[in-house]
Amino acid sequence: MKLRGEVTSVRGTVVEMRFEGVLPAIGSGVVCRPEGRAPVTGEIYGHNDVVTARAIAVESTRGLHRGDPVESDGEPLRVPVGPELLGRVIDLHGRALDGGPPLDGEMRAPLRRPPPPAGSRRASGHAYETGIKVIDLFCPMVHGGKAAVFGGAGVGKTIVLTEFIHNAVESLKGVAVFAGIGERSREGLELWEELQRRGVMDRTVLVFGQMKEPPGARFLIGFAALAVAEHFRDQEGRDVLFVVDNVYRYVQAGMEVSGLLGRMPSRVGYQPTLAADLADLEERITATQQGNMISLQAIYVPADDYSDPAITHAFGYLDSALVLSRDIATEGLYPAIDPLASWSKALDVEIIGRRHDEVLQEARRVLGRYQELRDIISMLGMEELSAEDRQTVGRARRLRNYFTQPFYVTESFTGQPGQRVPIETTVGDVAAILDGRCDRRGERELFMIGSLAELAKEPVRG
Amino acid sequence: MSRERVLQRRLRTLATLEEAVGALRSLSAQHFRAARAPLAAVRAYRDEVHGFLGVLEGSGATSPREGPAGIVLVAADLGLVGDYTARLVHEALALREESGQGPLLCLGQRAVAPLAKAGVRPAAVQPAPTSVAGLTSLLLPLVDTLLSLRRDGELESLWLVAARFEGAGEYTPVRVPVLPVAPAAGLPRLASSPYCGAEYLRTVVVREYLYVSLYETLLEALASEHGKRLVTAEAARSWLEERIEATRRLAAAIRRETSTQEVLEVVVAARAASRK
Repeated sequence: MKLRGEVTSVRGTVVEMRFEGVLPAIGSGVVCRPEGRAPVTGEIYGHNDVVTARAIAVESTRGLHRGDPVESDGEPLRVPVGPELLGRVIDLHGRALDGGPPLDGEMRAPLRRPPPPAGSRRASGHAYETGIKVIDLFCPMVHGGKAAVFGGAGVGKTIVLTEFIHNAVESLKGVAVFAGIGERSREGLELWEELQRRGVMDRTVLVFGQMKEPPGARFLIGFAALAVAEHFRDQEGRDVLFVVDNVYRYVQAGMEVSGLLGRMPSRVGYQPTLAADLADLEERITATQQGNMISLQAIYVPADDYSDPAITHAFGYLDSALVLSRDIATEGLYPAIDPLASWSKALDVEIIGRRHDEVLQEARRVLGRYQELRDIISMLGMEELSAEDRQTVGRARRLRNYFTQPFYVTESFTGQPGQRVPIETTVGDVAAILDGRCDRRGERELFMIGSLAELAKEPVRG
Repeated sequence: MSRERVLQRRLRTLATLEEAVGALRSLSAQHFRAARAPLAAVRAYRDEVHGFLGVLEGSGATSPREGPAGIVLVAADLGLVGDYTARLVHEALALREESGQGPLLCLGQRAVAPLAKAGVRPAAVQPAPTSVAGLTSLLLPLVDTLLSLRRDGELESLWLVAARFEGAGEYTPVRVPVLPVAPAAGLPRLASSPYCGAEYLRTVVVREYLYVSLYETLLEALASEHGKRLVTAEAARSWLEERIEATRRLAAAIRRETSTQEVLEVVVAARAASRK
């Protein structure tokens, strides 16, 4: 049944409307239809009195007048879902942004829905192999888990995300859904081109609500992408990699919406519903009995302050964190993941196994010692270290070089074919380096290789 | 004073401390390099002098005589080296226990108290060397003192107890026998000279040997001490960095609370004003 009404006030993207009889429920979608102009969609956030509702528009309200007709079917906003979305770039409404044909399929899913019940969720018991050595060893991901990528501009965040998508699509035989929230449009375009170049776009859906969109759209775009991903997971039983860039922008959009609604701000001006808003999004990202879902989320840390309320709340949902380091990137060691700063809840002997755990602890010890000695080496030189420290530093340097890896998505820049390395091989290789079996090999020999098996039989010093 | 201001002051203090420790670290690195650089040349010269003693006397060995063993303990006078002095004192006391109650000469005031605690009073105490530049002025009178003690029969053998360098931050307290001079292998004896008597030559060369052996040991000890101080300063700097980061986080949290309070006050006041 269509509920009809009219616009009574427009302030920015806050639209108030009067309905005859029943008001559309909170969370329902509404469409304002200004005469001679494109319709303006919004979402109901409040009921002012028995006949008036307040909505936040998800599109520009330019051209909207008081008295313009409004209609609602009382249902949440919906987005097209299904296999025809694969290879496409869409916005919040499912409109094609890639210049392709419009998506007018039958299947549409609501943006807002409750998270899967506990009984249908799948416990995250085993590690998910990314094929990226440094991640699999130091901060492994689990099926149904969420990992965050922290890092400033230019340290290779997008490359890691893209390689992740590539490897996940290849290994999971599944699909990837990318939610672009509040970031620059140029970055979205670059990602789209990169995925096309790598030949994985045909198994990927990009859903964008970038910086230029109104806060209402940026706040909902994550839910739209999630609705698309949930369809693949629950209806088609496929494994899904759900990538979000950037979770902080989602929180920021929520803060703007909250301000527009006149809610009392909470800590540092964040919305009072910060925890609930994050839970709405994060709780739905999980593996179910029907299909697997792994999520990788880029998180901007304001002023590098990890105690910011948005960051502390987001941390609660993460299973692992990959910290990209500018220092490591400056040394040309890619992926520039800092193994000592990154962490994972999956680093449990029950999940990764005893051997992996032992090798990991020893690798951390060696890299940590190297970290301590770096300034001393730069002041005095290697030859002034004790024999034991020299050996430790040599092995740490070999380890750091070993953790570089040719990526599929960078083949065109490096000219080197991409490599995926099974986790058992990584653990075995790292154990070999720590045991000194590569001490006679030059450090450069281990740079940008897949596994140690690739090395020449005779060591080359260098 | 507000908590925020206290934290700002603490941050400034920590930053100043970090600068001071950083400067100390750089100084240690410089002294370390200065001590390590001449070591190879000094060792070569010591071997040469030892060889010349051999040429003088066939083997170079000074004749062993029964008598008290003297000890020169090379400790440190500056801090930030952990248990450096304590370990050396321990080694010197152990040696003294084994070799009899000969005179103990101490380089470094800091060793006097632990020695006194063990009931040992040094025959002489001199400041410990802090840089290579100061070694010469320290060594010349020390060698003279040792030789006169030997002449007077107060010591027949001499040991140096000092730190042996084993890498930056790593050292082991060692005993270095200096007198009697260990024999050098198969050297032809020098023909007698009408210009200079063998006894005079022997005295001069033994003095030189003693001087260069002490110099070498002191260089090693300096390198060990400054290496240890460098590593300790580095650890202190890392700790200070962590403290600064933690204090910054705390200050940021307090600032956040303050700004939240201000935002709330503005909002509440605006609402109250709009109701009037």
